[in-house]
Amino acid sequence: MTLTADLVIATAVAYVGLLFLIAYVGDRHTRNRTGGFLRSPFVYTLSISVYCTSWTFYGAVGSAARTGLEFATIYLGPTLVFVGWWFILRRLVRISHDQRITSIADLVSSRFGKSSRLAVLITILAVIVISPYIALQLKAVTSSIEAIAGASEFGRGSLEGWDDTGLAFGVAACMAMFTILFGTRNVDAKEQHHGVVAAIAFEAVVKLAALVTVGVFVVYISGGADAIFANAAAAGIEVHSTYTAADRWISSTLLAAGAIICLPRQFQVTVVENSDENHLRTACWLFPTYMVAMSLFILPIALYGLTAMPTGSNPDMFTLTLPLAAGNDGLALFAFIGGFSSATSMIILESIALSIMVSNHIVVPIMLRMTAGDGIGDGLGVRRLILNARRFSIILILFLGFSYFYLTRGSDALAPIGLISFTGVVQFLPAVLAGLFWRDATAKAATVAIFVGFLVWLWSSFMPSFSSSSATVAAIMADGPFGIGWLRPQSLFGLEGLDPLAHAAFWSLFLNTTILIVGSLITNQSALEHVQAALFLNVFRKQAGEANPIRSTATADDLFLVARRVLGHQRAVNLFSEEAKQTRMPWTNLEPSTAFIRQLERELAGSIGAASAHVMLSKVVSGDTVSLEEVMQMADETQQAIEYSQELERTSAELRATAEKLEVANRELRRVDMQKDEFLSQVSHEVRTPMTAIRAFTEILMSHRNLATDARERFVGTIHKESLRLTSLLDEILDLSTLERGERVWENYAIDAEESLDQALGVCDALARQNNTTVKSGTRVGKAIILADPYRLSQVMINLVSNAIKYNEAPHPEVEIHSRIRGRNYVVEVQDNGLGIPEEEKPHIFDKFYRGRSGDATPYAGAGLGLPISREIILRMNGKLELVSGAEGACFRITLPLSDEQEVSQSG
Amino acid sequence: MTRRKIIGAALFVTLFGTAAIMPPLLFVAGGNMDLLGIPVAMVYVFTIWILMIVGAVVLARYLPHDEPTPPTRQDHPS
Repeated sequence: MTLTADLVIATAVAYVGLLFLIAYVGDRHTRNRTGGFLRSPFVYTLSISVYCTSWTFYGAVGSAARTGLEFATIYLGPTLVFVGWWFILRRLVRISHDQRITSIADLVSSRFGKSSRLAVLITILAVIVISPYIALQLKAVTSSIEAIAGASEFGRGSLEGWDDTGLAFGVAACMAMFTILFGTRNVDAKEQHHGVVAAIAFEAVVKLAALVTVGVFVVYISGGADAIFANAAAAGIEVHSTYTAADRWISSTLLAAGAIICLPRQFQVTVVENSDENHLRTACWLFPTYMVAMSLFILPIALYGLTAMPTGSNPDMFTLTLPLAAGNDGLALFAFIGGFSSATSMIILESIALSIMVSNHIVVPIMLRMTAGDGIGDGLGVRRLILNARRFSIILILFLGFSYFYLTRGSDALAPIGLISFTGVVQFLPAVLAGLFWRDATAKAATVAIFVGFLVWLWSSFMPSFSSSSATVAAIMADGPFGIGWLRPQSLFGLEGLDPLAHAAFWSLFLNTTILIVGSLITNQSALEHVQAALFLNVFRKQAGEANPIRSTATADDLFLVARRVLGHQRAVNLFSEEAKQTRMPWTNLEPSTAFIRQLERELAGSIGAASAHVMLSKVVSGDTVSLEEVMQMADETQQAIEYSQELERTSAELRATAEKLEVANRELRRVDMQKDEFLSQVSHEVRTPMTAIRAFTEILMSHRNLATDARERFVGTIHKESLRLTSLLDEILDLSTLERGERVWENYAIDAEESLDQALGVCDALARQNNTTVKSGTRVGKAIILADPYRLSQVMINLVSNAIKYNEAPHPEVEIHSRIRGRNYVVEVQDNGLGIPEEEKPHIFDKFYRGRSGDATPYAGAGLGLPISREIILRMNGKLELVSGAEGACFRITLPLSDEQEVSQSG
Repeated sequence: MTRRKIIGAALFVTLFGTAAIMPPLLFVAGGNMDLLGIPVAMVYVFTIWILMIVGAVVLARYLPHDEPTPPTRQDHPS
């Protein structure tokens, strides 16, 4: 087999045709069925492997030949991100599913209040930042074709007359055409390109197989891996000090870790094209495994190339030139296809991802602005415009890539070009991470931070790459602009001694992050930002429903018009019929619910990005967002005030409650204290009277020893009587205090209350006779079973009846006893025909030591404790002792609940 | 293990992996020694790399699945 330039070009074209076929079949496949194999985690992982471009295929070998093991950092960084997928990637995927995110610019813009400014900034920066990376692929493809052409004995064939630049331009033009045909056939409503993904997955297999085959071939012809290292060492190549400076190692690991998240195409395949979150579970180990497999043979190939190839050969092309030099043309062709695969997959996906960003964030907003009058514009649908915008963007991106290639054609290594792009694209990382984890990051800060990071990158990383082709740049590099030394691109602010890569990465990311943090601290979020920040942060919490960005006053017709323009007639009809079906309303009367508008906005966002979809819908329902923003703004500001004052209020309320409780307790204490004092003084008073009498009489007895016997006996009788009175008083006091404190064990039995009443009447019979009082039994119930202490109950009744007898001043004193059942209660009334109790005494009749006006006058002056004790006793039986007013004379009534037994006997 | 501990383990694997492939731990495997004719440095880096992958395989099985899976992108008829 003889390898010629014409043959490789023909093979490349045929290969592209094969990719087309795969993409076509893939699209058909997903359209007809539910996706099947193309939705498997393996295809997902293989599509992520678009990360390994010709930088890996060719550049890594060159990098290994120059700096040893350092090439591995480019794959170790992404490995870390994927091993830690739970913390960042999972969030990104979930958020992007929820918010229908279409690109990295869309993600950042959506988080920072659907900010169009931020989306535009990131889009433009991404296009600029990626141009070196595209140039790298062009350079690799061109070099590989040149390498084969140079080695062929048939000369350049149809390439005769084409130099590097021409060839690169040809490659760029073909790639542009190819990508346009490939990626812009239609606007996928969800920005998922199953056909493209299938082709990319296929290419991932091809490039891995090619690189591994070359690696195995190299190890085989050199006689084993150890032989390669031994030969290299023998040839004077230092195989051991393969670690470069720590600063370079750390920065390139960090940059690669950031790039796997921030590179537009990686975001596209990892996040946007993800159809199932659980695919990450496979990708988290399978993708690192893929990278290990890719990296395994890089160092052997590089070292073998260094020893076997003539000095001066381009180490970047070892993967291709080693098989060529060994005369194995078939393997060389396979290697070429592998390299071509890695370049095309990168260019296709990167330019698709970038073109989506350009059309969604720049073209559509401009169109919206230009058609401000009627809202949506007329004529052709938005879809057509979007497709054209994407086609144009693809051409622009490849043109920029080619321009960079042209301007830097003097430099030869591939890997440093890639690292320039990495440094640039990682400027989005602080904003992305802040969006995921920090609620207070603001759009203003993020915009400035990214912009400053970009400027530093432009100055210290991008511009120096032109130094070989531009004398001006070389001068600035040496002396700084206008001779300002501390602005020299590779030793900014006098920072010397760092590797240029580490230097650029440090200054750009340091300033970027600092501005983001400080800026966020001193600026405020807009209302929508506030809402979006919460949505992003709480993406894993089950939410009751997100705040609605647009209120629904729009008519269904307006909304349909918007939807049709963007989504196409069929999808819009489907969407609206579904809603009509769900709300059970005819379509014409459909009142768009907030939920529906939200869904519509997300669907639109899936096609044209969050910011544009928001603007577009806001136009239809104009005015609403403004008022909403105002409301949110107010809410935002007042929220903190409310929280603060609520805090204060809670604290002071607690204090107040405590103070009130204290005051109540204090009042109660004082009342009890006063009662005690009063009681003490009353007791002393009560005790004093009989004591005085006793003392007086004993003194008489002591001083007059010759008293007559009868007088002496009378005196002793008085002393005895007073002592008895004193004793009974003390007994009563003790009784009352134990009753009041509830200390005594009290047992209630089921007894017949009538019996106690009869007993009391019997006891009082003598007293009645003595006072000539008639005790009449009025209406009586035969039997009343209540729960009571029989002795205590008699005590109360005796007290009441005897009181009625004793304090009755009527000429013909009468006491009448009634008892009856009222409801579930047993009621006894003791009625006398005396003067009754004066109105002013009534409230005090149950007070301790209170004696009615009549009490003192009669010979039966008691201690005034009978009634309080009686009342206390009845209370303990769950009853009530009260003075019945209105009757002639005094009437006391005892009310006691009947026991269950009584009720049974009653009802029976 | 509890859910939190599994997540903690995932964080550990990630952070430990980061530390292991960076200086100064990286320098531990330096020197001029060979292992079966291959520089120890290379063996070290690839070993750590593969260990991280093994960790990821194990963790991927045990990391919680309980969160509701979001609707796939084919959830609306089109």
